[in-house]
Amino acid sequence: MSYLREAHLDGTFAPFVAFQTLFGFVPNVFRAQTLLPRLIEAEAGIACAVFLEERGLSRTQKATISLAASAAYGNEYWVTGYRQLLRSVGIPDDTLDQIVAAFHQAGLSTADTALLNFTRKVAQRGPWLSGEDVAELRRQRINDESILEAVIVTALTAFFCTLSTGLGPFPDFESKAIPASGSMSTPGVGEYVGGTGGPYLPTVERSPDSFPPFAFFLEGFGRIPNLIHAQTLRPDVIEAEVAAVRIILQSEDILSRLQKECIFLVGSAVNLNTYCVAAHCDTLRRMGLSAEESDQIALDHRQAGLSEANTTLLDFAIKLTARPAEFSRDDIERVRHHGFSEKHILEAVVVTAFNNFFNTLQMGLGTTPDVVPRRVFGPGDEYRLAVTQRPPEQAQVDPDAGLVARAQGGDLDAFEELVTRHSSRVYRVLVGVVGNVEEARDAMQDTFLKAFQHIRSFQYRSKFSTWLLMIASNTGLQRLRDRRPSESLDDGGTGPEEDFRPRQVRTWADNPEEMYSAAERRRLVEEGMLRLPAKYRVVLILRDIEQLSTEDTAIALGLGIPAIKSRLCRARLMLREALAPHFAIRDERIGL
Amino acid sequence: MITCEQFMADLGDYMEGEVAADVRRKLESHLAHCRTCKVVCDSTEKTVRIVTDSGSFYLPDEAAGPVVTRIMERIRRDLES
Repeated sequence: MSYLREAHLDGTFAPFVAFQTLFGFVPNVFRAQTLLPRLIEAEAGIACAVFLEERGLSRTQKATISLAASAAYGNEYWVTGYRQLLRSVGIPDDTLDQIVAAFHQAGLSTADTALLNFTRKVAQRGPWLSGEDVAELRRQRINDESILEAVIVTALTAFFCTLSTGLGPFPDFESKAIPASGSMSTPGVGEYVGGTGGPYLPTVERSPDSFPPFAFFLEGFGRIPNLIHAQTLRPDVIEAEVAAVRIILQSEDILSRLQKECIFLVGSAVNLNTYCVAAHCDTLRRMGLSAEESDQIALDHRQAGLSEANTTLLDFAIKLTARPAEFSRDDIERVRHHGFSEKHILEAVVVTAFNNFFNTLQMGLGTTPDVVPRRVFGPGDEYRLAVTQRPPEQAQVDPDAGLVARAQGGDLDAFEELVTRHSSRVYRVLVGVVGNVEEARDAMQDTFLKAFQHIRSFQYRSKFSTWLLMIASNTGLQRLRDRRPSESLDDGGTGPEEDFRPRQVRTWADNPEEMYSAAERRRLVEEGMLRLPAKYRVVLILRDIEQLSTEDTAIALGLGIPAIKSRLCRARLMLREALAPHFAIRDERIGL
Repeated sequence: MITCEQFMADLGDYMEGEVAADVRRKLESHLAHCRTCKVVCDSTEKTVRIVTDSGSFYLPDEAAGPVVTRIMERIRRDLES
């Protein structure tokens, strides 16, 4: 149900047991990562270290901070999760509502209210946090260990909120809207500090010889980062962070280390985190990039000469970091379209979330940079980064434009290249319309001959490929009419789409793909699709196989967008009926 | 509380992530309670995944090559005549 495929892990998987203990349930956001169980282990390790030990703050205080921080991030999924946790320890609903909407009026102690105030500033205005905010907590007799825990809990909340935004888990419980006052109001900002006004908390001296995490950083990064020093009051948390760095950042089997460092870099830049940008530029320098190259990636990766796929990957990380409210399944599809697999995308989400963890931690602790930053990020960058890194969706260049221009000038080789490039999708559209593979192959020739005859009249009002598919669908339709004169793609046919009633309601297997070989699945899909009426089949082919946008599909078929949308849904449901007998769990008893 | 019919009417937009937050909440609250709609929604998403990954109606290069050759021969012949 999440954006990505899930694998089955049963309740004995150790991190699930840990989350069950922590939350009283296993949040679906962790089930959404079962393709790479090691990531869940890394997250559970930090969560256990942070939550289970009760040194400074109680578990209830930590969950309250998480609830307030989730509200500050506008994250409904986690507001619901932490509400559930707090409800289970006896906090009344009214109090929980108040913590989300206006914690000052929730009847909490002065110290707890001060903690939530601090939390909200760390979450929403980290670069403006200063020593004065920490001094205020001390005036409330909150000790250093508790302050450190409050920062770590807020950072962990940032981590988990990004995970849920990026993975789109099915809600664990019925969720409630976050009132505007909970997520929108911004604490007073005061002077810009840039996140490096500390360190705010004392440290404990440790030797790399006796404390393995220090040895790990010395060996792998050439230094012990100030950000790690600043957490020495909680060495167990540092150990969990190191384990997570090894698992999330240093594994190279899916995304490369370089890709992950670049995700950290752009995420840190949009978070205005001068410390982390400097640290990751330094790491990239060790990996062979020049200072100018990493500066360019931080400031505007789209001008950094990266491959199209990597540019898209960083667009994705930036949107997930900076504009979570706008993030949707479309963003997942966009990276998928550039050849990234489910596991790549899962890792990209987790790396982005892990970066938000460290960025938040750093802002809350105010550590000074380990290396001299080449640039200090400030409020002016907030606007600039948000604007320059918005993908230029309007300015899409037709990848065929050069060949089309040559073909319009009579260059047959250029036209041949266009035919080769698009033969497969033209064929699929024809199958979609005529519903017969032999006839579709036959109709390809007609389609391309017409395209050649009319190519001089093509005026770039749509993409060339869309124009070509329009010719293909008309060619296919003509053939259908030759057979059955009443046939068209725009008739009402079987009535309003909404009337369709699902009949097969048995649960499907968790991983239905694993039940059949690729060849068998293809056969089942093709057989099912050939039985659909043409007007549904063709939409399904263009949208779900060709992955055309709704708009391009509408242009290619000469239909309106609402018709495409309703037919797509209907087509998917109809095909679902055809596939259900093959993919449903066979022995389930239905209890309706 | 919405009915299954209302849920089905919004299913397409829901799957495309194109519903407003309040509608999304209503739909998900329905899903949390309605087993039938949950099964339909879940299996429809799996259907999309299976279709997208199926490579259906893929024209292999060895089939496409001769078609392209035939088309280009025809065009060249037409131009000459």
